Amino acid sequence: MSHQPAAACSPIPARAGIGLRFQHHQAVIEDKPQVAWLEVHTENYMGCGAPLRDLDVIRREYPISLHGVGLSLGSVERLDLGHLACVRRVAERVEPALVSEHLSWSTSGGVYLADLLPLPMTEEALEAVCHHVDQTQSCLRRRILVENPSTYLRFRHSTIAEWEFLAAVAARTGCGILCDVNNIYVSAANHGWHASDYLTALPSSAVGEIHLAGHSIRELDGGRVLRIDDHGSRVIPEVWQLYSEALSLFGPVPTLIEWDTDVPPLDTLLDEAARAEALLRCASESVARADAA
Amino acid sequence: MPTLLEIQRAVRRSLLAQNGEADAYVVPDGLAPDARLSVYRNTIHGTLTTALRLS
Repeated sequence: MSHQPAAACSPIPARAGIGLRFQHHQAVIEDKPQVAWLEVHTENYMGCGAPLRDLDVIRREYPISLHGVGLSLGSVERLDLGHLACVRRVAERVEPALVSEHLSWSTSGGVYLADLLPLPMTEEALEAVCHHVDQTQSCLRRRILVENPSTYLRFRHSTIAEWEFLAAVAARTGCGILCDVNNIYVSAANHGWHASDYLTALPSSAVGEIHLAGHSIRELDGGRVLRIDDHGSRVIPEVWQLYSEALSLFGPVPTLIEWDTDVPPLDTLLDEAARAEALLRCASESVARADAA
Repeated sequence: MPTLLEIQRAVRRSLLAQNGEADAYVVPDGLAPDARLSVYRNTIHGTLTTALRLS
């Protein structure tokens, strides 16, 4: 089932944005920093308290993207319709330019497991995800973006490569792809994939947003390492390089700097966004040159 | 091949009870399956602990 994007207050430009966290609300309201757009976690605004009132103010100045973490699109069980109704309520109030969720699951047996858990890449899982994406898009009456998560394990029974799985979800449901470049780097390092091949396999026309973040490294016995997506540091040079490759494949795409652990001063986020913005400018100029040729 | 229901049920039980039920489904790739699952278990515990601290 295909869905066209609903009209939003302000579209997200193909520029750099930052993840907005509670500790920066007042600074954003008072100082109005120069950043093209903001993304918030949908679940943080499901209550009707001060955070939502802050967002009412902020959304008048900035395009907003809603990024969900709790819908559990990959659960074999049915979607939590109460949670979906809350997402819809926030979306109706905020009128975001983009709405996104994850290629993962979090709910089993009625228990919410507070993480983005990996899926076995099977045809059965693909059907479950597509059914839930269709259901979400129907409820919200708009197209959503689905993000690739970082993963730390693979299942023996997987029969589909993750990048093929994600492309199939987009093709079957009409959803877009939120390409998290750091997650591709982390998962590729953890599983021995080629990150560039992952990017190349994605349908470029479906990529509607890119995420960038830092990650940590856990040293294991025997000298092995496991990369952990903790959003707690600057983007590493290798991920910036992969981001450049992504821009050359997809063209300029709205790009978000995420930082959720040990959240730094706002200026640090803006500094990272400025770096992404410079690369986006180069990508835009390349497109303009190609169009002129 | 196990169903999605069986895998998700086993992972849930392994994460909450650390009973090893999901180990057979996970590719070790040089690391014990439960060590891989523990990355998720740590995040879940950390998130819930933070939520309790803030409540």
